[in-house]
Parts: sequence; C-alpha cells; structure tokens
Amino acid sequence: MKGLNNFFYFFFSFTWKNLFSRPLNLLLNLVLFALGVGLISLLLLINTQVTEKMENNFAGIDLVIGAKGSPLQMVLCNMYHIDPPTGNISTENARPFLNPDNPLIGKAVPLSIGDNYKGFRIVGTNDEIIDLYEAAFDKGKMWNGGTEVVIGSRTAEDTGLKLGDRFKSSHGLSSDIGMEHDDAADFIVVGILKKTNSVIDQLILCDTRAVWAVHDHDHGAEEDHEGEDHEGHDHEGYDHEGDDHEGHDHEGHDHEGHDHEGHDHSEKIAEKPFWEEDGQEITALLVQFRNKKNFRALNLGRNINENTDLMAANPAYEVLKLQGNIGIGVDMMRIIALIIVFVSALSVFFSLVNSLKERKYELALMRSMGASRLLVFGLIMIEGAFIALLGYGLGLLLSHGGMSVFADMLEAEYRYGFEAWRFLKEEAYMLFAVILIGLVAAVVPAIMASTSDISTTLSEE
Amino acid sequence: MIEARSLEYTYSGGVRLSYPDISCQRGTSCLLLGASGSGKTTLLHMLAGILSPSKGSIHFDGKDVVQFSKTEMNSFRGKEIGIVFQRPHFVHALTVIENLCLAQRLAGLPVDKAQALTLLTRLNIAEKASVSVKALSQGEKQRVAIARALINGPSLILADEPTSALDDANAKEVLTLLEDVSKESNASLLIVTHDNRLTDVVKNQITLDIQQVKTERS
Repeated sequence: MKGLNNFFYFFFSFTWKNLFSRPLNLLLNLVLFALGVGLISLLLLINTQVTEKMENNFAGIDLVIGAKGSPLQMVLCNMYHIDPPTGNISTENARPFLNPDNPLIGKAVPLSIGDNYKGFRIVGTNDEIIDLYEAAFDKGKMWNGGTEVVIGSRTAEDTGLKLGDRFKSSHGLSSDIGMEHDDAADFIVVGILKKTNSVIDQLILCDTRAVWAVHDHDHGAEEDHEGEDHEGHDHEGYDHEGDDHEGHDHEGHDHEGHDHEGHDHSEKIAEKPFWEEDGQEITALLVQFRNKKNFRALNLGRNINENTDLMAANPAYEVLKLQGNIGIGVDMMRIIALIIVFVSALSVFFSLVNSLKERKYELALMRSMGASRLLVFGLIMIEGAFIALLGYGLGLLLSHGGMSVFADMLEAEYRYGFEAWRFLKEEAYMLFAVILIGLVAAVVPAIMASTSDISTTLSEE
Repeated sequence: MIEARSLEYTYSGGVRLSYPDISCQRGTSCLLLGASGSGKTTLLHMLAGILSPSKGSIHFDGKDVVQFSKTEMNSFRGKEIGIVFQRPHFVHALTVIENLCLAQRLAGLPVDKAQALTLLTRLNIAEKASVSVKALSQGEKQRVAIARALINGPSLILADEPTSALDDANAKEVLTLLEDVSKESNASLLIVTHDNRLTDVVKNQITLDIQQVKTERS
C-alpha cells in the first residue's frame, strides 16, 4: 500500500513539476479550459436557478388578469414582481372574477402594487395569497385589516423588521429616497412567514384596503400641501404668525379633513367585501380555475381579451415564450463555450506535442533508466488529465465567483436571491467529460512519447 | 564481469557491423576505442540492452542478457547498468537529488535520499543537491551524470565519450573519478571513446578496428 501511495505521489509530483517548468504553456491551457468550463457552468447555474425560480412561482396560477399592455410584463410584474405594472383595473371590472359565486373560478387573489419598503414590494391582497403560495406562519398571525402587514422570510431577514415594528412605505417599486409617504399611517408587522422559496418570501403583504388608505391619504396630503404652499406664498408677510407651520406638519389638520371621514367610512362598511366598493383600483388578479379542464375556463382568457378592457395572460405560456427567447441566447453561449473547450483540447494537444520535442531526450533517458513504455505513456496522459482537472477547478471558481457577483447584482435589482456556491450534478458530469477531453488530447502525444526509439534519440546530438 | 562474444548488428538499411569480443572484470576498466562512425554508440546501446544484437551473446556474471525479454531487460538495466552519456541530460524539471531519486524509482528500487546525498558528497557536489539541473555547469553536470549512473550500485558502468566535452584538467578528474568509484563499488567500467588523452591512462584497451566492419548489401 505504501508502495502504491509512493507511486501515485511520484506520478503527481512529477507531472506537477513538469507542467510548472513551462508556466506560460500551462497558463494558456488553464485559461482556455477555465473559460470553457466556467462559461458552461455559469450557464448551467443561471439556467437551473432561473428555471427553478420560474417554476416555484407558478403556484398553480392559470390566469393573470390586469390592465391592457404587454402580457409578459403583466406576468413578470404580478407573479415574479420584477416589472412595473401594466396599469390598474377598477374594482367594477374586477368584480365578476372576485365573486365567489363565479362558476369557473376557484380562487382569485387580488394584487395592489405600487409601494415599497427598502425595495421590498408592498402588496395589497387578501388572505388567499397565503394558501396560493403554500406559505405558513413562522411568527405572529394574519393581518386583521388596518395597516397590519405580514412579511416574507427574506423581507424580514434583509430589512430586519420584527413583529410589532412600524414603518412607512415609499411610493414606487424601488427604494428611492424622498418618496416616503410621510403623512400616511405607519404599517405594523403582525406576522412573519416561513421560507417558501417562492416570491412571497420577498414581499410585504397587507389588506387591499390598507394600500388604498395610504394612497387616498397621500392624495389628500398632497392636495393639502399644495394648498398650503400657495397660502404660504400668497401670505408671505403673515408667515411669522406660525399657524402655517403648525398646520403643515400637524396631522390633525388632515384628520379633520379627509382621513377622519375615510376611517369612519371603511369601518362602517367593513362587512362589505372590498371588491364591492366602487371607484377603487387594484393592479391585477391571480386566478386559479375551479376545474382546469373546463372548456369555458380555458376560453376565459381569450374572452377577456376580446370582450373587455382587461387583459388576461396564461403565465405558463408567457414564461415558455420568454424561456424560448432567452434559450436562443443561451444556446449561442453554449456553442461558444463548446468551441472554447474544443480549442483548449487542441491547445493541450499542441503544447504536449511541442513539449515532447524538448523532452524527447529526457524521456528516452528515463526509459534507459528502466522506465517502461507504459509508464512514459501514463505520464503524458496524466499531464493531459492534470491540465484538464486544474482548468476545471479554475473554471468552477470562475463561474461560481462570477455567479456570486451576478447574484449580488440581481439581488440589488430584483430582490431575488441566487445561490452562488451551490454545486450541480451536471458539474460533476462535466468533471468526467473534461478529464476525458484532457486524456483524448494527450493520447497521440503519449503514443509518440512511448514508441519513440530510445537508441536513435540518445544517439542524436 | 561482462563478456560479449561475436556481436553483430544489422541496421535497417542492411549494413552489418561485427564487433570484436569484449570482456571486462569487475573492479577493472576497459577502453573501447574507435573512430567516429565505427559503431561505438551502437555497441554501447547493445551492451546496455537498448538495442538487440542480430547475432552474438552478452553475458553478465554468466547470464545471457540477449535472451531477456524487453521488460526483463528494462528492469535489469535499471538496476545493473549505469550509463554516462556523452552529453549529460537530465529531467529538467527536477533538481539534482530528484534526478538521482528518479533513477532509483525507475529501477524499481526504494527511494533512498540519504544514499543519494552520500554519493553526491563523494563526488564533491553535495552543495548542489537541491539545485535545478538547469543551473549546473558542464563539469558539475558530468559529475551528476556519474552519480546517477552509480546510484543503484550497478555491476557495469558504460560511459559514452564522457570526456569529449571537457578540458584536460576536467577530463582527467572525471576519468579518475569514474575509475575510483567503479573500483569502490566493484563494477566493470567500459568507456567508449576516441579521446587519445585516455589511452595513456587506461591500460586495458580494445580497438574497434574499422577493418572488422563489414558492409554487405542484402
């Protein structure tokens, strides 16, 4: 056993020293292998994780219904939360789909999108969204109207929000400064969900009416601001009386005006479902059919698109189309990567053949010292495999390192977390393929080295 | 001792060389003299088992090595024959001591660094043990080549023009060294050369007479 270990150690160190005695050659081969392997691995990583994200977020949704525009954008906005909404739809228009008596629709989850907290989307919805994404509570409970919110696991992790914390939302979908709804009431965290690996992890959920309240309020506040500004301008001379400032900052003023009425209003009609309120808007509906094979359900999307001001889109179809488009790019990249791998095999082949010219004499010498043909053959083969193995390692480092940079970028932009250091089965298969390529590239040089005539070589000057 | 009888070698072109009988006791040395083109290197390669003679026998202490298979010959050569080539060549990626240990390993013998170091000390180049062979001078290379030939305690040392690239002083020193160490390890020393500086020193001489080289067209 010790002899065998020694033998492998010898192979290993001998190969290592020989390769490092020609560092530039080695570098070229490694860079080529690493590029090819890295590119393939990066494509695999992105493709696998994007597909997973896409699929985890299907959530059995058959139809997305929203304002007319790009159907892909609507799906991306409402299911993946990465695009802005196509627009809003009125509660009057959404009403038939939200009515639990609708014979075609099993579940219709309303979404009201437009605000964020630190870049995490605040979504006004109803409690059905929890079931839709098969989420469960980690801490706390479901919201009970008002400004109570339930947050996803990632939201909790990244924002540091805890049960009972209060925060103000910002207008828009990214965390730009200066867009806070300063005058609106605080949201209160009452529940935190367990991790689901779906998009719900990175959302802040609240009642539809809570989003309306912020916006109604905001409108009122803005109007007040304008009014007061004008007053301020007009009555510059009277400013020192101080009333202006107090009036501006004091929420009491608003309360007396709009808000009080609003509050009272919503409390009074609390028994009435939100979708029966007129003159309000939501962004979209996520629909599950009662019976997925029902003919009329399958035609619902087309009917909506043809006969109403709404737009319906089949998420599976839109995502497939998107993947098809991305797929062309991915295929091109894959071809390029394969070409690079082929070139790296050629490069290994040429540099081994070249090195044999220099090492012909020393290989003959080794054979004169008792090395068998098989040993010499093996040494050259191992060199090929070794370069491939090192290139493979470097390539994986490159792809996973690249992925971690890429993941940070995606996370900053879309709040989607990608795992940079997750390794795939395919990468293990790739290891075998790459070593095989290294060996194939080394076969001819190895045969050349092991069959050369020692006597002739040693007689040469 | 080594004994070669009625050796002949036929080149692929049909040219045939025949050699005089050679015999050299252990602990003694013998010069094989011949002009360039007299087939000196071919003879050396046959004695080393690198080339197979078309006729004749080579006996090592009574064993006919011409009958050995290639594998047997490889391992026999590694253990029993040390070769000092005309130009000292090494595995360039390795250091001096690594080259010596490589010779041990390739012969299938256990690697013994201490023994290699002792040998280098004997040849006065111990301080170069960990130096890359690329950094050695000609004279140092020749010494390391001798060390490598001796490392496995061979019964025969073959030296192919070991002094041709050296000046008088170095040539003498190398010859003395070769004779001394082969005597110490009780090995036969065969030096193939056309260097006249050696003929005065080594008594036992065999001339590869050009007359004995017959050329026939087949």
